Amino acid sequence: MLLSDRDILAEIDAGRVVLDPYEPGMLQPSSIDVRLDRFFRVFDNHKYPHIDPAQDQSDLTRLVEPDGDEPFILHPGEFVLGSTYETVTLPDDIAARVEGKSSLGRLGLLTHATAGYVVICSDPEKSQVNPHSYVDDMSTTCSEVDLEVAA
Amino acid sequence: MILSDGTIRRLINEGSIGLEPITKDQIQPGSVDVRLDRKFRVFRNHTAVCVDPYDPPTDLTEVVEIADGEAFVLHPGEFVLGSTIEHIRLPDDLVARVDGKSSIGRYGILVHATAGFIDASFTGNVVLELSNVSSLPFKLWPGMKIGQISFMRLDQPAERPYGHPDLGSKYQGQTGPVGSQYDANQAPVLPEGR
Repeated sequence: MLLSDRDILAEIDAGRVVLDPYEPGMLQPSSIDVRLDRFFRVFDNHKYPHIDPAQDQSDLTRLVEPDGDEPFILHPGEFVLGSTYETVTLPDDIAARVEGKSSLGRLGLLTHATAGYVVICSDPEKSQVNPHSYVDDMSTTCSEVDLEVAA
Repeated sequence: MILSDGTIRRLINEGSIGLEPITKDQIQPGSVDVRLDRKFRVFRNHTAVCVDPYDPPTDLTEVVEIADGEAFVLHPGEFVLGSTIEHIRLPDDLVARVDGKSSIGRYGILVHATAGFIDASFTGNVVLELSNVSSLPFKLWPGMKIGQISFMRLDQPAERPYGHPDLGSKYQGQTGPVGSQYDANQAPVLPEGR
């Protein structure tokens, strides 16, 4: 069963679902719009002959931040990680899914390659993680939603 | 909770789900098959340097219509919009998902890039974000079963369902492969410190 706007709002008001920062205009009929943050993780493909998930390849990706109001240009076929501007905290009985906006999908932009499912956060202490922390932190926190972006 | 075939059939018969034209053989155990219409929206890539969703190039896309007995050939890596023959209408307590047919997916044809989610009270054709990740061109035949729609119940009716005046519902009542209207959104203002 999915939550309707009223129930999402009730959960937010009760402090059980937290989106920070949250603005009322983000609430849709049965979802909440999320925004793109200014940090992206790009792949330094030239450093490795292949990706081996069994190896520590910590130089494979690099964090970039566009200058000022500059956009991040995603070229055809390119794949980068981004993250939501909002920090998300869920209670232990609600799971969530993240999906791209239809208006961007119609332009050929994928917002998640797979795994749109957001895990249940059972440890509220972990919800206070700085949203600037990235995939490296995924094993220790479920307070952030990382977006995989590809054209 | 995802609706079963019996419930889907009952809600269609009662008129609370609108889905037409539809034949009985389209109803699957937990979904309804949808068919591909003959109109496609293609990208005129040669006219554009880059797509800025807030300021898209003029005439970025155009609609092509496939004649009877002909197919639309989707080349590897290509991305086009299509739409369902079926016009759907949802009540304010149901949401739906569109997914590609497994038999089409097995050829490397993706039916939606993202946003397979259809909000409560949406009405219109469903736009398909078609791409080909295989290495061979693929023939898309108008009328073919291309995807399936499943239905999920909200815990109560949405207070502001899709199309509500408070929401910027851009695609309510859409017919055919309607292109992105992202530029109707306000450009972002980054909060202080970001």
